[in-house]
This record gives sequence, C-alpha cells and structure tokens, in this order.
Amino acid sequence: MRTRPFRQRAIGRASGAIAISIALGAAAAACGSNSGSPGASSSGPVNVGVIAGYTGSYVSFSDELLNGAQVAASDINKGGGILGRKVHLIPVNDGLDPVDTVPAVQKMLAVDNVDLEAGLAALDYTAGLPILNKAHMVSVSYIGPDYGNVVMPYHWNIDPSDSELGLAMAYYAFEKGYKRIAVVFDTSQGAQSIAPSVVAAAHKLGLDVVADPYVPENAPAYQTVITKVIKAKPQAVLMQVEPAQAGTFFQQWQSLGAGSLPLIGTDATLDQEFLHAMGAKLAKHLVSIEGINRTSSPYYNTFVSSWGKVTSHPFSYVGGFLYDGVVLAALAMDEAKSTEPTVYYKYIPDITQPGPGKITVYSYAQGLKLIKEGKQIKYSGVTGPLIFNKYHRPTGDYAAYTEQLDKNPVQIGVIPAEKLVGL
Amino acid sequence: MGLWLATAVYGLVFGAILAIAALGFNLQFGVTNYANFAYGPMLTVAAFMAYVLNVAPLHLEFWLSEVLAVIATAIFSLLIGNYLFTPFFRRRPQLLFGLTVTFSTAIILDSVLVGIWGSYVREMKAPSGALDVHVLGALRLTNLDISSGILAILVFAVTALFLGRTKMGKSMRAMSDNEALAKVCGLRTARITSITWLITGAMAGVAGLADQLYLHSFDPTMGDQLFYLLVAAVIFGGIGSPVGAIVGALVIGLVSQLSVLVVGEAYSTVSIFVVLVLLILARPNGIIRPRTRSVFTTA
Repeated sequence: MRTRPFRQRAIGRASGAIAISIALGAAAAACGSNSGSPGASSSGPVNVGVIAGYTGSYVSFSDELLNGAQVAASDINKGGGILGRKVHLIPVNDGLDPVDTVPAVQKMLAVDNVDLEAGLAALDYTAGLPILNKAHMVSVSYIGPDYGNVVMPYHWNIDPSDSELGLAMAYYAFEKGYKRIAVVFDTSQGAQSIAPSVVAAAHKLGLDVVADPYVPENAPAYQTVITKVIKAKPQAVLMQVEPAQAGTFFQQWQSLGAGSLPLIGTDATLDQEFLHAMGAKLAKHLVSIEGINRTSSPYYNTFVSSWGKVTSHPFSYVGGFLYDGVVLAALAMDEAKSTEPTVYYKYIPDITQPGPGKITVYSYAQGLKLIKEGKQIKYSGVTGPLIFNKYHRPTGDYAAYTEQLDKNPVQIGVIPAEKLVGL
Repeated sequence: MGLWLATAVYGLVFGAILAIAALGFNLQFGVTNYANFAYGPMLTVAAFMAYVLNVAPLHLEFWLSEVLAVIATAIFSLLIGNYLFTPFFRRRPQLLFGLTVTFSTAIILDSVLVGIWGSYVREMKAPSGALDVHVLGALRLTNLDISSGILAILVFAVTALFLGRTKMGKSMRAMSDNEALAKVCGLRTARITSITWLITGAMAGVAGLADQLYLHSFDPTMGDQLFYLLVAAVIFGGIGSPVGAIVGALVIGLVSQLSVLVVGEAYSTVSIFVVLVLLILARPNGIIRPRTRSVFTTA
C-alpha cells in the first residue's frame, strides 16, 4: 500500500510565488557563497541537509521525503557508513515556500556544514537550486515539472520529467488501439505541464483528441465538463485530477454514466489518496503510466520493510526518490573516496550510467562491497534504473500499471523508451 | 435544449447547498453585524466532526453521527461567538477589527484542522442508495442530489417559520433592524446574539455536511472553497436579506454550471464574479433590497 501525495498539488497554488522565487534565488545565488567548497570537514558524520516543509500545509508530504532519506541513512550506516563516517540528516525547514527557501538554504550552507542536500520539490526548487549550484553543493531532488533545458552540474533530479510522461500516455493509448481520446487534466501547473505533451503526441500518432477540457481547481461541480466529455464519445480518457477534486469529479463521472470509460492516468493516479477518492469501482477501469521502476528492483520489498523499521509513518513511494538520491550520492562518495561535493559530483554519472563490465547493484551494501573490490557498478534504484540524460533527469522505459485500493500496483505492460523518440 | 436544462438543474442542486450556508452566514451577519470569515472553516469543522463520529475512530451510525456533528458545530459556534467574537466586538466595534479577528480565527481553525488531520483528502461515504441514479432524458440525478434539494427547502421553510412566527425569530429580526431600539424595547440582546450563534452554527453544520456528501471526499480547505462563493451569494442576493441569500446562491449555482456551456470550463468560476461585479454596478444593494443596518450597505 502506498500513499503518494501529488507533487503537483502544491504547484498550482504558488505560481506567483515561483516567479518571485526565481528572482530571489538568482539574486541570492549571485550574492551567495563562491568558495566552491561548502562541504568542509573530513571527519565526523557526513551531513545531509533535507530541505522540505516541516511546518505548514505540506508536512505529510515533507515527512515522506524525510523518511525516505532516513531509510537511506539507516541502510548506509548499517553498512559501515560512507568512508567509515556515519550519515547524519539535518532537516531544513523552508515550509515548501520559495520565499523561505532562500534564507533556509543559505543558513544550511553557512552553518550546517553539509556534504549533500537532499530535498526541494515542485514548490521550492526555483528558489533553492540556483543557490546550491552556485555554492557547488550536490543536490538530489524530487521535482516533476520541466525546468527547461538547463544543465545544473551539481543537481540530479530523481523523478522523470512530466512532459515525457505525457508522451508515454499517448503512446499507450495508441498501442491499445484507441482512435478517439479525451484529454482531461486539472488546471494545476503540474497537470498542465503534462497535458500539452499528451495532445501533441496524440496528434503525431494520428489519434483524434475529441475533447480536452480543463477540470478547474476548486470548481463547485463538474457535471457540465463531464457531460461535454461524454458527448464527444471518446474511446478512452487520458487524465489527471487532484485528489481533492477526484472524489467529487468521479462521483459525478459515475452518476453521469461515464463509469465504464477506460481511463489512462499519470503516475499521480497511482496514489492511494487519489484511488480512495476515485473509488474502487472506477479504479478497475484505470491504467496508470509511470517510469518503469518499483517492481523492477529486487530491493523494493526490502526498502518497504526497512521503512517500517525506521519510521512509524505509513509507507510512501515518494520517499523512494530521496532514498535513491542519498544512496547514489553516498556511493559516488565511496567511489571518489571523498565527501567533498566538488570532487564526488563527477562520480555520480559513473555509478548511474550503464556500461560494459559494470555490475548492476540495487542497494548500498551491494554497491559498497563491489566498490571496495575495485569493480565498476551501476546503481539501479528503488524508483527505477536511474539512467540520466544530460539535464540530469532519469529517462527510460515506461510501464502501465493497474492498482487496487490499499494494494501495490501490478505492472501490465511496458512502453519502451525508443517508442517515444520523435513524439 | 436537454443539455441546458440538465445543466441548469445541476447548478440548482449545488446552489441549494450553497444557499443553506449563505442563509446561515447572512442571518449571523444580520444580527451581529459582523462578517464572520470563520464561517467557512466552521463548515469544515462539521465535516471533520461527522468523520470522527462515523468513520474514524468512533464508527457511530451514519445519521446519529450527522445529528451529533450538527449539534457539536452549533455548540462550537456558540463558544466562539460568545467567548471570542462578542467580547472582542464589544471592545473594538470597528469594522476592520471585526474582520481581523474573524479572519484570524479562520486561519487558526484551518491550521488546527491541518495540524490534527493533515492535508490529506478523506472520504465520507453516503448511506446506501444515495448514489442511485434517476435518468430523465439528459438529466441524471442521484438520490443524494434530490435529497440535497429537499434538505435545502426544509431549512428555508423552518428558518422562515422561525423568523416569522416565533418570539425569538421576531426578536432576531428586530435586533437585525435596529439593535439600539431593540435594547430600549427590553429585548435581551446578549441572549439573542447567543442564540444566533447557536442557530447559525447549526446551519453551518447542516451546510458543511451536505457539502461533504455532495463532494464525496473532503479536505481541510472544503469550507474555505465554499466560503468565497457563499459571500458572493450574499452580496449578490443582498446583504442582510435571508431571501436574497437563497436567491443569490441559486443564481451562483446556475452561473457556475451554465457558464461552462457559454464561456468554457476555464472561465466558469471567473464568470460568477464577472456577473457579481456587473450586478453590483447595476444594483449596489443586491437583488433583494435589504432592511438591515449593515455597515456594508447604503440603504
């Protein structure tokens, strides 16, 4: 069972703040540290700052991120630590508010003596990333929206981009033989970063997009929108609706007679919160598309079980992203024999990109053992194979999943990455 | 034509739920003369009360939970009104201070709800058969939709009888018209105010529960989302006018749905406020001319 809050949830409410935060972040980066070496000590614990919103509206989501990092720290410390040093997590609270991110990041860099930053999400990344990169601090994040073709050498995002997900959704509809599709996305910034790529890919694949209405956030009722979709007679509906709207939307969806329409959802529709809001009956008609992962990792079940030992919070797949981020940074430190960010950041591609002679590892312990034996490794995480493009975002195959309430998803098909090229 | 008619009915169903909330808000405003921004979170309080009683952790029977939740919300409203708002208003009767304290209370209530229950969406299942559908041409209504309409009519009727036929109702109207005169005439205004908090709290409870079932799922922002529409309904209908609140809410329900057909879903919420602004330009006191001493009106 998973509970994965929508990464998009926060975004739509803060688009104005993001614009401000970009300016703040850029300004702060310009004024920030240029020492080039923020991670200082070579003894004592390896400090990892975990930036999230530990107060405010996103506490649950932020706790899930922190819990993932805690499981990683536990695994690493059980394996003897990084170069013999224990991992020490330092939660850094920015409330997931970009205005608070700037001082929080600056304080973390100045005071907390961190060797790695794990955190930043859809809401606060625009403020935080420029400062971290300017300070040459390695960061690993869980950010859904595209942030443009910007290469940030010190930053790795563990989550695939939203627009690529849209291509995979359209391809899945095409592969299933649907000719007439409806594209139904809510108006949050996150959802809207997926919808255009779905429509564009659908056109390229020769699919007829018969309806593509918005689902307005906070609208009092959706019957008219739903009626418009039904009247367009789609064979399948490609969609994402926030959990807060999903209960109302799908109850009206069902009462208006659309209950049997096949639904193809984004990765966010795998969220248990969403599935509960949607209801078990409609969940049977839903196939969710996500980067191939979880079930592909032999370490996944161990990760789930470790979660329960480290924290009393319910398991959440979202924590897997920071888990992977911390583990891959730790392995890079082991490989580099240094916890200095300006040194070990160059080793992250070495342990994530596949190559001849490389041995795929799924856990920190496996990786550390092989590194000590002088072997080359390829870390494949609990969230996926983690093969990064030049913008440090994971790319690769996608998969289709079905999921029932309170159960883990079942993979029912694969969408190979090469099928998405050119869409 | 079938689609337009069906859409209008969907709008009226939502408008009926909104009208219960708007009526309570307007009644409270009429007697106390303060716009209570905490009225939105009060709807959410009712929803969480019912959730605690019916779903987790208490698992009481559905209807018992609903009744207890309404009573609890009414008492909560009375406590906040009597021990927070009224003492504050007595010391600082100015409009701005009133808005400040009710607005602050709304934020506090929202934060407490998030603090206790988190920001997650929760389900509140309607009783069995509530979602059974009746099909009339293009119109598809659930039993819940029909019940919401009937509930609203009942609330309107009881409120009208209470205000028109009972001594307390007449006293509330008198106080709403002129508090100073009501005092001179020997009416116990403090007691009337307390009962107003109690009754309007109960109405917030009923509206919150109706909205919760209508939405099928809810989170701590539920009441806030309805609040801005109910304020619009009250302004639309005429501040201080119970009939105006009902009419305003129904119009807003209609506009919210029909506008999807006219201007598209992206502008449906915006269109409510465009219509509101145009109406205020044409009729500054709303559709129904109020008889209140409201500080917002020029009547």
